[in-house]
Amino acid sequence: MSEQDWVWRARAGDEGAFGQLVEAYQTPIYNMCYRMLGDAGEAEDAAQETFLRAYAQLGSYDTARSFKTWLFSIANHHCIDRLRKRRLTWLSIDDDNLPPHPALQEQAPGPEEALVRRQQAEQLQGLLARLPPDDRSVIVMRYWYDFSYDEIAAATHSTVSAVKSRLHRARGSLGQLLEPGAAAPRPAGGPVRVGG
Amino acid sequence: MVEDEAMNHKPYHDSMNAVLDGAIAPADRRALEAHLATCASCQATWDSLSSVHRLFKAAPLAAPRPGFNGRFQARLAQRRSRPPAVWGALALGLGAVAVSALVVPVGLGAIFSTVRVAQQPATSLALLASASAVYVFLSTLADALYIAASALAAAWLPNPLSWAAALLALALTGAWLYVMRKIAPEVKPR
Repeated sequence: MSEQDWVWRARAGDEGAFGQLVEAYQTPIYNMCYRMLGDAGEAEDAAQETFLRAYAQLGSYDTARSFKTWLFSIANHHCIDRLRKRRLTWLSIDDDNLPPHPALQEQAPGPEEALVRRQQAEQLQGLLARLPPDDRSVIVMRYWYDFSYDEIAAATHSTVSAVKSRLHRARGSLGQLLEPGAAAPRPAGGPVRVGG
Repeated sequence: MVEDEAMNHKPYHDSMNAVLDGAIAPADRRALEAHLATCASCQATWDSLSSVHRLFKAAPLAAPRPGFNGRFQARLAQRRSRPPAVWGALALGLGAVAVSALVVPVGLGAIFSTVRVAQQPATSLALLASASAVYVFLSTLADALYIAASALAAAWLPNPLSWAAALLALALTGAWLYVMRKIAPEVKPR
């Protein structure tokens, strides 16, 4: 059964069908929330809320659009709302010291590699936290989900040119924030070739 | 001068991003490669952007704790057992409208009456001469409020049109509540 079939069934009130959609999208949506918010507990809460909102708004979902993009759009807006509220509460968080996600630590096989991965995860999350929320969501959608410019524009209710502009600006900022030599190792093979 | 130079390099920066997004035309790629061979500044930018690209490309997906779907189902059931928030919002909205309907005319009446009283020469002199300006102002405001309230009551209460308007507003509110109940039926707990 295709995703669209599950969506149709869920729209008709089949809760099991919506459960299938939750099963399929729980990790991508959770990851989106975690990358945006930088905290595992808050990401769980935001991901749950995303699915609750999707369930409540299924009737207004336009089936001509991609379900994935629609779901990400809900998650993105919810996370940005949370970040704005967080700023309003005057909480001071040392973003550089955000703990890495527990699941990311468990994936490392040995202690040395675990340390490297932990450092990279901390660095990455620290860099993301320094971006404005709108730029952050563009980077997350581009790198973790390979969303096209069009898909990002649809999920952020923006235009393709605005998405390109945000993505380029965000990359430039990240490049300036990234300490030289601290990034993932460059593939071996002499001078850098423009090969992507 | 520096701005001109930055503008000259901007197309190459756009090309770098296009390479990273897999959206570069072959001719632009060749032009970029030729430029990077001669421009140290752009080469440094390219190194920086491609480092970011590699770091983020290598990042894994963070997964939720096991049992996410079960927790979602429990939360959905809990959410359903709650009375819908629409009635609370509606009550608040209607309350706000009612308070505004009272406060706005009385407030406006008070302001206009105060201005009118203050414009009279005797009052102005008295205000200026008084040592307790604050006390005078407050008592004037109280007088103005009384005048405004009296004027409103005098105009409102004996007029049958006023009562008809009030009844109409009441009927419209009832109709609105009925329509809202139809539009947003209460979700029954399972």
